[in-house]
Amino acid sequence: MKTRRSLLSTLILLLLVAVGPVWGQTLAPAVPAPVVTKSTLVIVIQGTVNGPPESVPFSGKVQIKATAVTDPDFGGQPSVHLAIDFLDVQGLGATTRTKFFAVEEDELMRRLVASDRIDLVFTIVPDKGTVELATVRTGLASLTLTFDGAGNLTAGTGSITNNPFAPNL
Amino acid sequence: MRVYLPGKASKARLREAENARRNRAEILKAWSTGKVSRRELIKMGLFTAGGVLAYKNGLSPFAPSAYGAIPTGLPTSPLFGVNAFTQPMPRFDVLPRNPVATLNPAPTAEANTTQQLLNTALEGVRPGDTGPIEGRPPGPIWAHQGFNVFAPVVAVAVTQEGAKVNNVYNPGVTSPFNSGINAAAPFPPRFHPNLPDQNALKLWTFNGTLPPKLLIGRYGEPILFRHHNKLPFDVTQNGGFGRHTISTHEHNGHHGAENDGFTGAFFFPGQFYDYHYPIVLAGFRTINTAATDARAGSPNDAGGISKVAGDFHETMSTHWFHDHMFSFTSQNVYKGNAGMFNIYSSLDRGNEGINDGVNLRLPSGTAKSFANLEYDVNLLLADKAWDANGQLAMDIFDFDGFLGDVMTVNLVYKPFFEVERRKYRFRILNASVSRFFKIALSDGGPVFQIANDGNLLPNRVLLTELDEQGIAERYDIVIDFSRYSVNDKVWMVNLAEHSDGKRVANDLTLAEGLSGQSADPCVGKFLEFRVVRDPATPDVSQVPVTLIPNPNLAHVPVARQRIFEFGRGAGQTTNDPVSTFFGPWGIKTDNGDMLAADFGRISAAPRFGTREIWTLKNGGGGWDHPIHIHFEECQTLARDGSAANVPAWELGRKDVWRLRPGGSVTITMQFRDWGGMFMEHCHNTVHEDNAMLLRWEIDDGGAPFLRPLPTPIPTPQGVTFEPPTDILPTAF
Repeated sequence: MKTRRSLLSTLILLLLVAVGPVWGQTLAPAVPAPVVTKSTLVIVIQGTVNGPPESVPFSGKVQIKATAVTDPDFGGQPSVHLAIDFLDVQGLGATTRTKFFAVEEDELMRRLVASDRIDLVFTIVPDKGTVELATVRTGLASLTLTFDGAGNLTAGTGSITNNPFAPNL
Repeated sequence: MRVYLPGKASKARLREAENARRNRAEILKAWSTGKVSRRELIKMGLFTAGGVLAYKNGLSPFAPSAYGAIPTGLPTSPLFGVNAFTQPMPRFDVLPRNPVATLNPAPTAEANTTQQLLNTALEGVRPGDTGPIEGRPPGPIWAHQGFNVFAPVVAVAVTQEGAKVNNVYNPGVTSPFNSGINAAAPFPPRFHPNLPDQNALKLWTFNGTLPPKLLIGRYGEPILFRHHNKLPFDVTQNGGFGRHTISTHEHNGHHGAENDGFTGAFFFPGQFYDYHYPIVLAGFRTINTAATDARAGSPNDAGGISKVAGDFHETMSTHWFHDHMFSFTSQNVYKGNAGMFNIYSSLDRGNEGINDGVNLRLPSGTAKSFANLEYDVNLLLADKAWDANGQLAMDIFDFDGFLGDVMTVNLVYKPFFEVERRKYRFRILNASVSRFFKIALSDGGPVFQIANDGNLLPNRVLLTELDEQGIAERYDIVIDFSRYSVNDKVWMVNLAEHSDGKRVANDLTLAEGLSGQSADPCVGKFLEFRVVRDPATPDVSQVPVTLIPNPNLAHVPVARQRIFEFGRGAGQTTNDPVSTFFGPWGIKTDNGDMLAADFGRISAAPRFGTREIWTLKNGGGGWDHPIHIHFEECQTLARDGSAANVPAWELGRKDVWRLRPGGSVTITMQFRDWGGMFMEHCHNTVHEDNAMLLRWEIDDGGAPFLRPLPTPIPTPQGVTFEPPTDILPTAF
């Protein structure tokens, strides 16, 4: 309660004090601009999604566009925006030899750290025929991304496994 | 840094934080009662130079604690033992559509200036004073444009008032499609059946009730939306936050400015404001003027199409409406001034069964000719907080942005929703103050995103998680629950982790989001889907690969380009007591000074009938801004200077863009059909209110209006007009 009383007293006191003109034609100092570092990496990814109706071994490439940004204004931790896009990741069904594509496009804002592991669920769609939500299968892509001190994406690895969140779908 | 104190924090630390919250509330009370202005608070040194509340113990809950060195936050909202997913999610409350003849007085083209005796509790009102019954600015400039050509056909009358029990809830569907809710039973103003009723000063909603309201409209059927302000006459009766003057923005209606909810065209308790929504396709004056294209049409009551003029590529679907009161939007929207608006068209019929070659047959239902809601579900997402008594609470002094610690869907705490094994459309609105979301299903299940900001995309997009969704963005998605078995459950999950209101700190992976390890209490599961049965009839809905292609702008020359930079450290060059505001945030126009908001200042004035290209830049790396441009939908040309950086779900039309830290977005927009003054602002409404907002207007060359337009200055006794306080050198 002591704090509250002193605050109100301060408010009233300051209200009674007519300070000189501080309003109008007020322009604040410029805020320091952030450093933006852009880099792009294409990594190889492969692995198998097992389970019914058939297992599918996938291989292909994943493009990652990284934009690291500093925060000189608040002194906060740098962030990195990741635009992740699967490029022609495909496989043949082990039983039917049906051609499937692994499809994923995502954008994430992450805290910039030296090594970041990102797991993404992706969809598996047939090369031919219509895509129906009811039957689309999913898998999991695990990416490990390495950044240098300036925020450049310098290396990455990727692997594919089953989607652990939907083991029966 | 934790946004909220952990539940295991010591009693002393909790008490300290609660005292800080009360101290801040007292400052607010002093401000709202007129004992102190925001400017004076800044002059007093209670705000830092940057406009942030002084970082001192006993005042800022974020200041280092006397009991520990780690900055913490507000006490967690008490849940009174309530568990997640123990109440059904209510569908929206559909607003009655009545004949215009039911309105008394009848609507008029110019504002109705019939005088009434004013309540002396209103600020600046003396005994015997009178003022107009309608708060719309008077005269020809603010008259409804096209009022005779697009004469209103449907009247929707609403009030804004304090919380009360809803005895007329109309979900638009039967109980089985509303998770078993009995709509005939009184619906109390609570976030959960076992949480307290909200006080009438804490929760201010449309008609004073929950659930949130849904407006139903269709192209070619103009609506007269009469909004009565029944909030307290006394400005101090606000429950600690919120302003009793309001201005209602139909986001993102293609209407004349008099119906846009201009931030300076607010109205007072005891008044109404008639908003005239013509519901036209953009380009109606120059494209398909003879109304011969069935794709430009409205669903009629016989199941057919009534053709309308305009460009079918401009068809819109999912809007919302909310307060836009200058400097108080965040508080008023947080208090409940937000509803949704479904617009139906020949393409997006709201009837999945009609197979006429035009109807896209999106999930909806079949019983009515249009606007079937059984499988077309509005979701209003918002984070909230409440005090020790369970009453809605808000920290208005956190200029970074306000975050709640409790997730609500359709204004109830973490509900469940019963679904059938078939396809559903969800129209997801982020109605938060400062929080972004990133949504996925708990099993990583696939969805089709079909619309962005109310615009059906050129092509559906197959995703396992959505992009970040900034404040005011609308994402329409389709989920097919036939993937699951009866009695299965799957959850909607939020993966966007905040540590403050400036931006998302980390977009989590699904495993991280489901781990329960995040310090952000709004990360993780927030809506439970319960698969309860098979549909009674086969699912005939479709999700076509191609939806609505973009308008072709190749033949429309670009008249000019402008640059807007959004950042911190704004100054103020004007000092009108009504139209100016000072805050830490601001906007640079065309590389000029970073300026704080003044709705009397004209920052841009595109010529009527032209197209321009605008680049929106984020000037900082520590924050993000969801920037909203009023009036007409835009196409996104580039992100960070490259068209290749525009993701698939942003290839259609939009009206809100997250700029991302240090990022930029380039858009193109047309200025046609209607005139007047509009806005561009950050839709992190704390940023908007403090003071990241500008006015632009359509330059008609002085005819039929004026050049420049005078600024409305509302008072209870009537609206006066002033010349612009400032016109930036590159505006015209």
